[in-house]
Parts: sequence; structure tokens; C-alpha cells
Amino acid sequence: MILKILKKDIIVLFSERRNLMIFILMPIILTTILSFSLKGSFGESGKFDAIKVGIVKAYDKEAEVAYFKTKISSYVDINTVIPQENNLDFEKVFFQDFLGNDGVKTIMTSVVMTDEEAQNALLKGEIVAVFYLPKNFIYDQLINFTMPYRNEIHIKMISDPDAQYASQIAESVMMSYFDLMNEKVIQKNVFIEVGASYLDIQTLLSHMGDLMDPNGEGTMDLYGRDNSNQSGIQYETLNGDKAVDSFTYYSIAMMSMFILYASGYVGRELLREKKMQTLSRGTVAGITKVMVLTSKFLMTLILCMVQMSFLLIYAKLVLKVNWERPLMMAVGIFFSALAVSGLGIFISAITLTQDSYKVANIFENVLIHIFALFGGSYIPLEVLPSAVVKLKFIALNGVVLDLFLSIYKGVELGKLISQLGLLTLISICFSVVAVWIVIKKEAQDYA
Amino acid sequence: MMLEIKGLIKKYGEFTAVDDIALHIDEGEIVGLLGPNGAGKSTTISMIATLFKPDSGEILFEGKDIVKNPKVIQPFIGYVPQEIALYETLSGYENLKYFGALYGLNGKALKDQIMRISEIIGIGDRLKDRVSTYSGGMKRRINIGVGLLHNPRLVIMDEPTVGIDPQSRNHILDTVKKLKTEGISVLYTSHYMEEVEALCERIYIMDHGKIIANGTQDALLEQSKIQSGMKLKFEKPVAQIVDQIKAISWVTKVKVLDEYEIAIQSTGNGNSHKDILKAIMAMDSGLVSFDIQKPDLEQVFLHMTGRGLRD
Repeated sequence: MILKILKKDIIVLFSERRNLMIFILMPIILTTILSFSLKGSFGESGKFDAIKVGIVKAYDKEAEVAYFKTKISSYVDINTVIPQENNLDFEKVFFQDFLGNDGVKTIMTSVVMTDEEAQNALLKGEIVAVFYLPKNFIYDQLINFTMPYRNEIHIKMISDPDAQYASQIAESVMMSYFDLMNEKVIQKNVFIEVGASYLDIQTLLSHMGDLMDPNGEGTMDLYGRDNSNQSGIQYETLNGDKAVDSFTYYSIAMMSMFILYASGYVGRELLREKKMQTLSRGTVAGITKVMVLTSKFLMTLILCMVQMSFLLIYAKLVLKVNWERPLMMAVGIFFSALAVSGLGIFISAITLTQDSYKVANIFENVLIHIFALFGGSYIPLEVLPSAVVKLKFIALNGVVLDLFLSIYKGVELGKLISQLGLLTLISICFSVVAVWIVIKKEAQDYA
Repeated sequence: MMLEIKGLIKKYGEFTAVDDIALHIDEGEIVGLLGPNGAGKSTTISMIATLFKPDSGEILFEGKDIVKNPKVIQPFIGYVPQEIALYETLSGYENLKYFGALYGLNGKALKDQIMRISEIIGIGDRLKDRVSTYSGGMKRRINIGVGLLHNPRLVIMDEPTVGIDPQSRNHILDTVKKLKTEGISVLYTSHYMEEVEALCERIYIMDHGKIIANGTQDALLEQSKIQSGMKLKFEKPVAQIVDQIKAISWVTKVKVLDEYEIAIQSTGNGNSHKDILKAIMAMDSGLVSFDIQKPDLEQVFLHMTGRGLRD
């Protein structure tokens, strides 16, 4: 009998377009809007295609290095200044260590071109900007890193006016290289000024290489750190979990909030059926209110599981969120849906006994939004005061959000028992109270 | 006796909705339950339909107490509530299928039964459309169809023709008559006296939770003691025969309307009019025409309750 009621409940549910709007379309729209608008607040890991720039070389590396050596040799011993020649291979530092860095490549990729090729590519929109590395680009950097004085290096940039944001990003990336270089040059000058008080110039220069490459590995990344330990732009958290970007966060946050609307929906159902007299009709046919309630529970369970699966699949396919643990996600979906179903039939039972939609209305129009705030569905809890963060477990969506973030970050099943247990407990408590209320009500109506 | 109710009482706090009523329905009988709003009809029906438990009294279905065990009547009862108790976003077919399934019908038997019922209620070609697209009359017909799906032995119809067009109403009345021919008992409530007059063999009149009268239409007229009226026109002046007319048994009052016309009031049933007319014609009075004003249930109801049925 319950299966017959359930089948009808599901057909009724999906026959109402408004429901599909609330359960599926609304969270998709909100997830997408919030993910994009709050993208900058999260550690992103390349959710967009890296911007592409062109590099035009106006310098001649071999000639400039040879000129530098000739010039410097007339004053000092070149082997003292550059004990390991690789340390001062600025072309390698720029192209391989900086532009070739994995972290940089997720934001910006570059192609070396001739001036004409670059202009054409820019016109066709294939690249967003062209950077011109000037004549003496290598020579000037060699001078800056070995001599007490500095030559200015002017990089020319031409950008696509239709890609302003992208070219600003490219400019920022490029500036970070020169900021780093400037920092090193300043360190060198301070070193020389201070060191000159104690050492002769030859000895000082012999330590310059150490200054530039303290580990002696000969490579340097964007942050001036050793590349050999792969510590570039990695977007990992301190404990090694996967970082959560805005797309991941909001696809979970909105999902955890919108499943509460499933509770709201089922919360109205018993009273709605009573007012339509379909409940009476069923009673005359011999079905009990507990049977109807059980069907509503199962319907919410199915609805919630479908809703969550749909939203997670949308996030994966469209927002490119990388859910890596489908089995664990399925476990999370089931337990979350269990709790939502329990809450739903509890509201339904209260609404029936009150003979008014007031309770369901308050839940949908007030409580869900309070839960959304305290549970972290609107704003990540990290930015809220700590007192508010402590309240997150009063909200079912907070528990669901926490569970799915843990699953996403790779937390093992054993460590999720408390969250899964809490969801089960919520479901059992609400369901038991709901059944008790309905049995009591039924006893009043009929023995 | 198919259904028997004894000493039935239902209270809501201090308010007594049904106050110690008794009624019965025989196999294949159409029984009317009349009463103004708030008389207690729907509460009575709800208790028979096992929706509410009475505070006291007995409801026996074929001698078995349905208050103690609702299941003894549930498979045999067809309930047609006053409201359209259907899922509006489902089609008529889906509604019939669901409620039929609740009564244990399935497969071909269910399909055949849906087709049979849809023919009876005259909804065939729109069966697969959503109920929300139906007219009020069509919704009412499906509402009745759901109550008939499982071949019940007793059908309870609570105001089944409220707010519908005359065509649908006639169809519903025909359906009820058809049920009688199939031996199905019907408990019928309506605000429309002419429906009850046309359909019901026995009638219970309820007011303030009590049954204040019951019986066949004629018996109710008899019980009510409402006098019937008659207007008579003569070709001769009436003055000379007024005293003779007053002397006819049954006649209680004679009023002279003009030189050739009188109005009389009489007791008794339809036969009394025949006797009065025979007597007048025997007087060589030159009777030209007569107009019988027979009391109807509406007048009986008004007389007994002091208010109209739709008050």
C-alpha cells in the first residue's frame, strides 16, 4: 500500500513545475551566481582557461652575455663574479623557472613570437597581450645582479582593449617577476654596501652567487623559492587537504540549503491532502495516516537524493568541480536525505495538527534563511564571528555542508562517523516525534 | 438492514454537532439526508465513512460495529465528499488509477473498471487530461467516479451537484438512478430539494444535530400537517356555493377572491383534492378551472426547521 501511495506522491511532485523550479533550477542559478561573484574570495585552482600572451624578444642572449663577460673581465675575475654560470642564466630563469612554473601556467601561458606574429595574434584575439623584452634584457639583468649599480629595464606591453581584465591579470603576473628581481637587486646592493665595510670587493663578489641562489640548485621560481621541492603555486591547504574554491563551496552550500525546501514541501503535504480531502478519501479506502507519512518520508528521501545528485552532477559538468569520491558522495547524499526526510515529516505532522500552514510557512520563509546563514550556505563561516560559527550545528544544512566539504577534502569514512551519526540521529528523532503526533491525531479522529 | 445507526453523538467541545440520532439504510435504497448548513449532515456522513469516531452510539454495517472495527465497512463504502477530492495536477485517469489501486484493484481489472466507470460518468474522451483543466461539472463526475471504482455496496454522496451546470447535474442524477438499478444503496445529501424529491425513497431531515423527521415524501407531508391549497374559477357567482364547499370534508378554509373565484385550503394527501373536486362538480357549480397548490419538501422543511434549506 505504501508503495502505491509513494508512486502517486512522486507523480504529483514531478507534475508541479513550481517544485522543479525550487528544487533544481533555483539552486543551480544561485550556485552559479554566487560561485562566480565570490570567486576572488577563495583559493582558485584554475577554473578558467589560462590567459595567453605573446612574448617578443628584442635581445640577443649570446651577444649580450659575451659583451658582459668582455666588459666585466677588464675589471674583475669573471669566475669570481659568476662561480656557476647557470646561476645567472636569466633567459632560463624567465622562461623556464618563471613562465614555465605550473602555478603560473594555470593563470597565464606564453608563446615566443615575432613582432608581426604577435600583432596578428592580438588582432585575432588569440592572445590578450604582447610583452616586448627589450634589447639588453639579459645584459641589464647581469649588470643589475653583479654590479653595485642598476640599469633600468623597460618592458613594453600591448594589450587587447576588449580583454581588459585578462590583460590586467597578465600585467600583474609579469610585474610579479620584476618585483622579485628588484627585491633581489636591492638585497644585493645592501649586501655590497654593508659587506664593503668588512671585505674587499673581490671577496664580496665571490659571495654574490650564494646571495642569488642560496641552495646552489641554480633554479628559482616566482617566489624566489627552491623549485626542487615543488613549493610553487600549489593551492593546497596547510594539512594537505584539497583546497575548496568558490565553485565547490557554493555547489555544496546551495545544495545543503535547498534540500531544506524539500522539508518545507513535504511539510505542507499532509495538511494539503487533508484540505483537498484526498486524505479522507484514502482513509475511507483503509490507509492510515502513518502510511501516508511513511510515503511522504520516502518521497522526500527520493526527492532529496535526486536533487542532490542533480546539483552535484551539474557542478561537475558545468562548474568543473572535481568530485573524486563518488561512493563517499553517495553515502553523504543518503544520510543527508535521511535527515531532511525526518525533518520534513516532522513539519508535516505539526502542520497537520495545527490545521494551518503557518508552521511550514515560517520554516520556509524564515527558518531556512536563518539556517542558511548560521550553517554557512550564504557566507562561508570563516568570515563570520566565531560565536556565530559555533552555532553551525543548529542548522541541518550546516551539518550537510560540513560533511560534504570533508568528503571533498578527502577525509576518510572513519572520521565522518560523527557527522553521519548526527544526521541519522536527526532523522530518527524527528521521524519518531512525527509518527507519535500523527498516531495521536489519528486516535482522536478514529479508533 | 444494511446500515443502522443508533444513539449517535458527536461533540466538538461544548458544541454538539450530532445529537443522539438514529437512521437506517436498506439494501438498494436511496436515502436523502436533508438539513441546512451546520445541521450535522457532514459530521454524520464522516462518521459513517469512518473518518471520525463518534463520542457515543453505534454504527452497524450488516450488524457489525464499524466504530470498533472500521475495516468491516471500508471495502464496501464509496465516499464522494463535498469537495473535489482529487489531485488536480494528475489526469482523471491517474486519479482513478490511484484510488482504484488503494482498493486493491490492479492490472487489467483496474483498467477495465476505469473504462466502465468513465462511461458511466460520461468523461471518456477527457480522461487523460489534467483534472485542473476540467470544468466544475467534469471534476464532479470524476469525484463521483472515484467513489464508484471498487463496486461499493453503499455510496455516500455529500452534496455531489454543488456548483455545476444543468447538463452535468442531470448526468449525475442519472448516475445515481443507475446505481439503484444495480442494487447499490446511496446516502445522498443535497441543498437541492428537487434532487432529493426525484431520487430518494426515504428522507431524513436534520437540524441542530438532531433528526427531526423522517419517512417517505408523502409521510413527511403528512407529518408536517401543511395544508394544501386550491384555486377554483366558476362561470356562476360563487356566493351561493361557498357554504356547500365549506361543508366538504378535508376542506378547512374557504376564501372568496372575487365574484367567480375562491381559494380553499385542505388537509390530506393528493386523494383529498380528487374528493373535493368530485364534490364541487356534483353541485352543478359551473367549475371552469382549478389550480392545485400542493405542499412540497421545501415547505415541509421550512415548516419543520423554521429556515430555508440554503440559509
